[in-house]
Formats: sequence, structure tokens, C-alpha cells
Amino acid sequence: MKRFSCIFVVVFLVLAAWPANNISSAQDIGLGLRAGTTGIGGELGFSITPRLIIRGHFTAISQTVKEEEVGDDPKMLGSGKAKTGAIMGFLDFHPFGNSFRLTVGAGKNQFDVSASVVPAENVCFGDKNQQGVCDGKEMTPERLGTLSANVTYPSSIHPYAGIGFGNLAYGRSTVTFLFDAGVTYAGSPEITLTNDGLFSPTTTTENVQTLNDGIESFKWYPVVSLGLGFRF
Amino acid sequence: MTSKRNSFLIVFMVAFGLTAAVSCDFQAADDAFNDFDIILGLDPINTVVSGVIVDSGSGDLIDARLTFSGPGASVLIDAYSDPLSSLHAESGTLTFGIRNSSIPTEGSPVEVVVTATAQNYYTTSREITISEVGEGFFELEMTRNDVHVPTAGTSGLSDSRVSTNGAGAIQQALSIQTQALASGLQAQLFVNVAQSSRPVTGSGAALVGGLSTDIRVFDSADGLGALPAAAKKSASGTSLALVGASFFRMSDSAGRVAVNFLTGSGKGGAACAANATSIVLTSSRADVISAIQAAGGSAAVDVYAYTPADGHNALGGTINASIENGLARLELCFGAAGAFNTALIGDASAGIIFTFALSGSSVSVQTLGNTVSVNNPGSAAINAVFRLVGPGINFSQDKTVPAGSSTYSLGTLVGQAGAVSLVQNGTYALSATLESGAPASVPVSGPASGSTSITLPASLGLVQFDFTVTMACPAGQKFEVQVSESSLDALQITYKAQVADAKWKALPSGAAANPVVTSGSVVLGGTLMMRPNTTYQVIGTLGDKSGSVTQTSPGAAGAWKINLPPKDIGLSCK
Repeated sequence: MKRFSCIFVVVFLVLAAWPANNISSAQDIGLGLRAGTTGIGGELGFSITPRLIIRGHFTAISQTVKEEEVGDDPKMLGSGKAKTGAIMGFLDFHPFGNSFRLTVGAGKNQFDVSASVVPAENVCFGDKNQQGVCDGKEMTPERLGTLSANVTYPSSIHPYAGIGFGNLAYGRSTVTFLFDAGVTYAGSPEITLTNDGLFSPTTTTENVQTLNDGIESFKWYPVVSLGLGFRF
Repeated sequence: MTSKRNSFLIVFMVAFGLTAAVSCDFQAADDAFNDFDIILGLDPINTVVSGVIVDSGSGDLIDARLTFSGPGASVLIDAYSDPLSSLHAESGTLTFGIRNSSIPTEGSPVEVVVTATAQNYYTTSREITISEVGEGFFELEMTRNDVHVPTAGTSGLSDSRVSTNGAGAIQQALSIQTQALASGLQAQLFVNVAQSSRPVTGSGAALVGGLSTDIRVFDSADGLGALPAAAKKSASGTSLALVGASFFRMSDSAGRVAVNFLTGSGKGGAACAANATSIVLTSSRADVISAIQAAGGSAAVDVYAYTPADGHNALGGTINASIENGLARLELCFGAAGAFNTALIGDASAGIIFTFALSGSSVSVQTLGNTVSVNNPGSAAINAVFRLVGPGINFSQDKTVPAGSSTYSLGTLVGQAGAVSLVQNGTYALSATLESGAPASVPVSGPASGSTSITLPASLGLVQFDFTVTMACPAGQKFEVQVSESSLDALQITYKAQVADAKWKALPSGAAANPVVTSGSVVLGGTLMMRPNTTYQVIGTLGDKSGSVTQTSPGAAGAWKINLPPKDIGLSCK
């Protein structure tokens, strides 16, 4: 999924580079509706000059996964919730005077990814006999407890760079199409685990470091967004 | 110009996007999730007790089922921190813990009664007193219920000469007697069967025809260790001062078991009446003889009847112990008006153990409150067996003693925290025995109070080993269930030299290091004083699971590494 997202970014960046019609209008304020990889939301834009627009942007979205079987030794039931969104400030620069623009910005990404897994069956501490019956000590799911994971990013302020089409605050028509493609630098994500049962040693920083080392390269968050703008 | 700029932007944006995409290392993430270990972490156990269940004759480990009772039973936990009330020690070794919220101290020890049952053995109990945080160790000896099995301090035999006529009357008088007194056997039993006396069951049914008789004597030295624990205590739980004990089982071919002999008149003067069947026990124990002499040559003795079939221990009467030919002599007469109330005897189907306990005004019930200062002249902690012997008592316990001087109560030291019957002015001695060499022994003037000092004997013939036991998966494998180090707190090592009179030992808590656990190995060890060039059996035990290996120690001090299969203690590899 993440690989797909990254490729998606590349494709849209290429598309975004194609030239568009020249801008010629007198409005200097606009409101936009947005949907994209940072969620659904809106934005407010002001034109400083016809080629320089300042935008305030807010989006949010969440996704919930309920009890799916994960793993096989032991079998676990996992559920999770991923929430993303952004409160950002953007500066759009229309270098050619048309709808194409370069955008930089900064803000706070509302990343909140959490998941929890509980054992779906007893875990045998020891051998199983030929009939598959535990010959050691069986730990019930209740005793093993819930293993919870949370993903955080080191910095709460995330810079953004990208390209786009559409001038939210300056143009002839009242309605304009908006498209953005870019990346937010979020820094290396960090997974923290907690447990209320016997999985405690699993949650130690030392043990979780294996996971964090594996996702260290996921510093960039791809942003693709479509929208409709209304100029006033 | 515009076209050039657009081309430049396309290149720039493609490069920018590719950078973002390529920087996501999906393979590394996939590997990380595959390598990630789910690790189980059981609660740490601060105090762990390990034990061995052994045959009192051969010293072999016994497959036994254990139950735990007593005031401290509620704080017992198994190796996985679950409450513990029973356990099947299939290989004869076990470990368990004490809940961390309970902190055993000298002043507030955890007292537990371990009761072991095993096929062909008397059900046996022993009290364990844990008086400090760390590791404890106990040995529970069980005695075969077959009277022919050689057991220290006992002697037994079977006899089939007795028979009755159709009316149930014994046809011919005879005496059945155990082995004569010897250095390792300080009691002898005589069963004098009187002609015409009538053996009857508890319900009064006569035994008819040829009779089988099993008898066994238990002296008040090693023999006390072979007695079921319940046979050594009164109804109130007081440890009795037992002069000796006798097992008796007489049965006919129909399975009827005698509990009494009618047609006798019981005790008549100094001896049983001529037509009374009797049991006579003689003892050569000096402390017993001295106690009887101190009582004026005739000491009161309570007679109990312990029935192994139901664990019932009935106080049935009192007789007098006397001195005859320099030996203590006890005579129990059967009969319609015998000195013992046989109606109180429980289920006699597995026989009866009559015990003889010193009583009367010269005996008082007290706790072993004497303060003992133990001096370990060595530089490291060492295991020693402490034993208190005296008139009718023989208590012992294996204890780890740190270097230097330590102070314990006598009861804690010998594993007898409860009430004990003590003979006024009796002769008591405390001894300490190391793994090899002669014991050190000191008199204890008053077991109930006062103070005693004992210095451990030199550890002759022992050398210091850096002893490590490794339980590792084969190369390339790791434990199926990953566990933290604290999860293996209850993993203990016990060992025994394969030489005569050697006893099982546990790694002393002061010497043993905590287990070092990786994803595929557990290493446990410590610094130990052991015999060089000696074959040892080494056992790793976690709860009721254990692995064993037999290996010869190196010829000189240094490292000694032993491997055990982890699967045996419940850690399977994959």
C-alpha cells in the first residue's frame, strides 16, 4: 500500500508539471473543499499578488479495522485505528501566471495510528503432545493481555513541498478545480508498544527497536489532494 | 522559453517524487516485522523453593504427587505465578515460588506442609519453613510400604507361620522379631503371638486359617525419617518425641486384617499376661535411655496408631517405658482389656504403625527457640545439612549459609518451626554436614531457649567450580515461545554426587547467578564447592518439568560446563 502511495506521488508530480491556462481575474479570496491522502476538509486562501497565494488548510480522516486474524503462532486478533489529517499553512507561487503552482508550507500532521492485538487462543508454554494438547502451562488470552501499538512522529511541525493546479484566491471564474501533489516531511516514525499482561517484555524499547529500525526510512508522507475552490 | 522551463520542472518533479518513493525501504520494514519477537514475560518470583522427593532407602528420585497445606499454603505459586495447591513431580524434582507480596523473614517465616503420595510408598509429609527471600531447598524422603525394602533405621520382615483354627484361635505361640540391634539400627521389634489369643478385625471378625504377618521397626534415629510425617505428630500438630515405632499387619487369606487379639488380659504387672499377644520394642538409643532414667527408670509413653490407608493417627493409650538390660523397653499388650483402645484405630487395611511417644511431666511442648550462631569460615556461601537429634526427635534441613557469621532460630535451621515435645534435661545435639567430610556437632543445652554456636566443618575434598548449565536450542533454532529472564526465576538446578551417602543439593542462592536468557538459550550457574573427578547427576527443574544429565566433574578447580536439553524443562525450539 505504501509502495503504491509513493508511486502515485511520482505520477501526479509529472502530471502536475504540464502547462495550464493563464490566470486572469480579480478575486482575492477563496474557499476550497478538499479530499486527499490527508483526509477530507477545507481551506481558505488569500491572494497576496495574482501569483502569490497564501492558504490555510485543514483535513482529517480516520479508518478503523475491527478484529482481523493476524499471525499464526500464536493466532492473534488485531484491530486498529488510523487517523490522519493536517492543519497546514501554504504559500502558492504561480510562476507562469497560470494555474500551475509551486507550493511550500508547514503545519501539523494529525497522524494517529494505533492498533491492538489479543491472542485468539491459549498459548502453550512448553511442549504439545502428539494429540496437540499442551503438556506445559497454558496461558489464557485474558492473562496474556492486549498488546497495543501506537505510531508517533518525532516532530509536530512538518514541512511540505509540492506542486499543484488551481488558484484558490485569484481567477476569473467563481469555481476552480484544485489539485495538489507533494510530500510532507514527518521524520522517522516511531512505534511504541504497551501491554497489560504477559507480553510486557515484547514492549521494551530494546525489542521494539527492531521494528523502528525497519521503518526508519518512512520519513516522507505523500500528499495527493483534489478539491473544488470558490472564489469571492 | 516556457517549454524549456516546463521541461525543467518535469525533470525536477519526477526526481523529487522518485526520491520520496525510493526512500521508503519496504524490504527493511518487511524484514523487521518478520524478525520481531513476541516475548512472554512472567512476573518475577523473588523466593523460589526447589525440592526433591527421594526414596528413603535407595535415595532414588520418586514420581510423586504433592499437595500443599499449612499456614503458608495460600501464598504459594507455581513456576508461572499461578496459585499452587498441588503438583505432580513426575521426575521427583519440583520448584515453586512464594508470592512476592509475602516476604519471609526469621520472625515471620512461611510455613508449608508438603504431602507426597506415590505408589508403593507411605504417604509422607514434611514441614518446610522458608525464613528468607531467595532460594530454598528441601528433600522429602518417602518410605516404601513393602517391609522388605531396606531403609535406614528400619528393619522388616514377613512371616507366615501363624495360623488359627476354625474358631479363630491361634494354634501355636511364637515370636516374630526383626533384625537384632546394630550400629545402624537402634531398635528391635518383637511380636509375641500368644497361643489361643484370637486376632480380630476392627468389627470383631476373626481371622481364620493361615495368617500373613508383616512387621517393621523404626528406630528413633534414621528410622524417624522413614515414618510418614502424620505418624510423628499429635492431633494438635505437635511433633512427638518418638522412642520408636512398629509397623504391624496381620491378615488372613480372606483379606481380614487384625487390629486386636482377644482372649488376653492385657498388661498384668511388669509384663503382659501369658495369654496376651504383645508388641515389644527395644531401643539402644542413649538419649532415649537417659530420658527414661531421668524419669526414675520408668517413663510414661503415649501410644498412637497411625493407619496409612486413611492417614488417621489415634492416641489409644499410655504405657510405661522401662530399662531392661541397658535397653529401653516398651511393651504393648493386646487383649479385651488391653492398654490400648483398639476401637480408635482407623482403616487398618494397609496395616498399623504404632508409635511410642515420650509423655508425662518430664515432657513439655515448646518451639525450638534456641538462637544458633552459624559460622561459615569459608569465603563463599555453602550448603550444609543441619540436624537436631535428641530423645525421640531427628529433624534436619539443607540450608545455604553465607560466608561469615549468621544467626538463626534453631527451628528455622532444622526446618521445624512448630511445637515440639521436648524432654526436660534431655540430651540434644546439633550437627552440620557439608557435601563431604565429617560433620561438626555441638550440644544444645536447651532447644527451646538460650543460644548455641556452631562452626561449619572444613570443606575437605571439595574444590571450587565455576559451574554453568546451558539449555540451548540447536544452531539456527530459537525457542518457540520467547520468554524474559524473570519468567525463568523458578528454574533451579539440583545436583547429587554419585557416591555413597551423598544428598541432593541445590545451587546455593548466594552463589548462583540469575539465568541469562536469549532467544535460543538459557544459561544458569554459579560458584560451587564440589567434589573433583566425581560423577554427578545434575537436574534442571522448572515447576514440574525437569531435564537431567550425568557427568563427571573436572579434576581441578575451574570452569565446569554442562548442557541440558531445553525441551525437558518445557522450552521447545523451532
